[in-house]
Amino acid sequence: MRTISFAVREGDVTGFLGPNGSGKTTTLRAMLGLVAPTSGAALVFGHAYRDLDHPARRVGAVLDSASHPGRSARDHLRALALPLRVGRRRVDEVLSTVGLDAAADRPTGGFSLGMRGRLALAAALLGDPALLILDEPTGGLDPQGIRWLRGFLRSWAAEGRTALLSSHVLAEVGQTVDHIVIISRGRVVLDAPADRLGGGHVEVRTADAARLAGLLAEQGLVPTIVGRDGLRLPAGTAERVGRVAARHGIALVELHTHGQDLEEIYFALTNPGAAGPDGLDGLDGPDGPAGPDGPDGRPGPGGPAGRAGPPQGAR
Amino acid sequence: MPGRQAGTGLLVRTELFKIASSRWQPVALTAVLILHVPPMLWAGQDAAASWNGLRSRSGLFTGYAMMAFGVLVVAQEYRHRTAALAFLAVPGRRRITIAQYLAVAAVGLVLSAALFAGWLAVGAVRYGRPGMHLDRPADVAAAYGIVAVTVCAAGAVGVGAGTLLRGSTGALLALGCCGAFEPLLDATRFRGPVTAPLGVLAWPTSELDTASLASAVGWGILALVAGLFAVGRDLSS
Repeated sequence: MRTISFAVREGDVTGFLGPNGSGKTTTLRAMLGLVAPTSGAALVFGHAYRDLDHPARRVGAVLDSASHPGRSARDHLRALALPLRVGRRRVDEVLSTVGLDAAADRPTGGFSLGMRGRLALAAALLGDPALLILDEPTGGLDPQGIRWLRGFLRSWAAEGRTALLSSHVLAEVGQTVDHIVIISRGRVVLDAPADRLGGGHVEVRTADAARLAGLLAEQGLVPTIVGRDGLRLPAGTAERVGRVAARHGIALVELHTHGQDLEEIYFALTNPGAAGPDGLDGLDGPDGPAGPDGPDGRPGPGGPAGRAGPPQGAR
Repeated sequence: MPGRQAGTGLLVRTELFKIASSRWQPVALTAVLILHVPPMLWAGQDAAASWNGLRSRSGLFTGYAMMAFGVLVVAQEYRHRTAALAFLAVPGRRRITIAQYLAVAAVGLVLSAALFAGWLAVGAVRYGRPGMHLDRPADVAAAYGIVAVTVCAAGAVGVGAGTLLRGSTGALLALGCCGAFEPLLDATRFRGPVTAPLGVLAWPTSELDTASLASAVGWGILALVAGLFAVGRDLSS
């Protein structure tokens, strides 16, 4: 890893993307004090992980599905709960949260990969942390498990909590995160809000463009008029546009979302020698990620929940 | 912001809970006790032999069992990748290593005390209290003290080796090699990390090889200190 610097904004779910071997796991482990960087610092809530007061009560981590195969899920969690001074009731709560109540007293050696993933998440939740760090949490999960995890992360984010989620599965990240950091070959190549990525815009063509624009404006959608018969709207509005047009009998000649998706951007940034993706103006590249800092260079509201970077910071 | 973390007592309790809640460890420890029952019941000797065999019978097997147990308690955390979870909960890793050692030592003390008491009781029933020096409590206490110190030292060697090598196969192999080569040289015979406990406990209770005892304790301390330094290494995966 070289000159990796990014911040995780409090209250956001941040996706940490990169190809296999790009340094995602090493970065996360450095944040958690499991790996010592040769230079630089990784700070969580402004402190090195080891200097946090009750770190596992502030940060929950899912690194891999580790457990002693001869120990039951409940005992595995109790062994982790003891040094946190967390009671049995909380152990039962997190087992229930991840849907492992029925298997709580079974040895974890007989668990499926999906169950192990849920157990790892339960372990991370034991201390009721404000920040979750998840390293490839969908590895081994079946589609149902992935869907469950996505729902869990959405509810987690809805509570205003923070998560840093590493993955190389773009589909799982694109639907879940507020912010995206992409690393490749040990460097940050993109650090940007998710809503500025991959969405593109919606293009509409109709003979009643002016009328449709007025109707959409009543709905709170203000289109840009393009030529005599074209409208342009923000990404994600295609369905609403179609419904408004249908309700008022406006025939559409064209309605589609235009622009790069996350996958295109990802491959453009992580593919050696490839030209940078179009439409990324204003987003942060490898030389100067701007991230969520405030105008004075300090962290934005709430401050960064996690930050990895060189000693003086890259910003 | 200073870290306020779980105390060493709580960490020792955690390690003991891990031992108790894993499937094979309580079974293995119980087996160590049960294996001693047949010789206790059927071994027929005189009073002197019974007294002179007290230290070796109660401590020798237990000492080597604790050496292996110390390796396994530590190595299984790396093998099953639960070490990272433990270090996340308690970033002060050295305190975890100390807690692991104290838990192994506690188990060793309980086992050796139970076996010592068992052999002592069997001898007293068969040959009378004076035959087992029960009329001289200091002798009995000293005999158990030497057993306890040696068993704890052997456990420290195991915990240290397990922490250094982070794997049971490598650590047990390394200790096995030591045990194979130490007897070949006068300088290392009964003085090395593996054969020193043998030098303490294999001789009659009425004799004490203080050099072996010092070696056993020294190797235990050295292994534990090395483990305390080694535990801070990166845990990359």
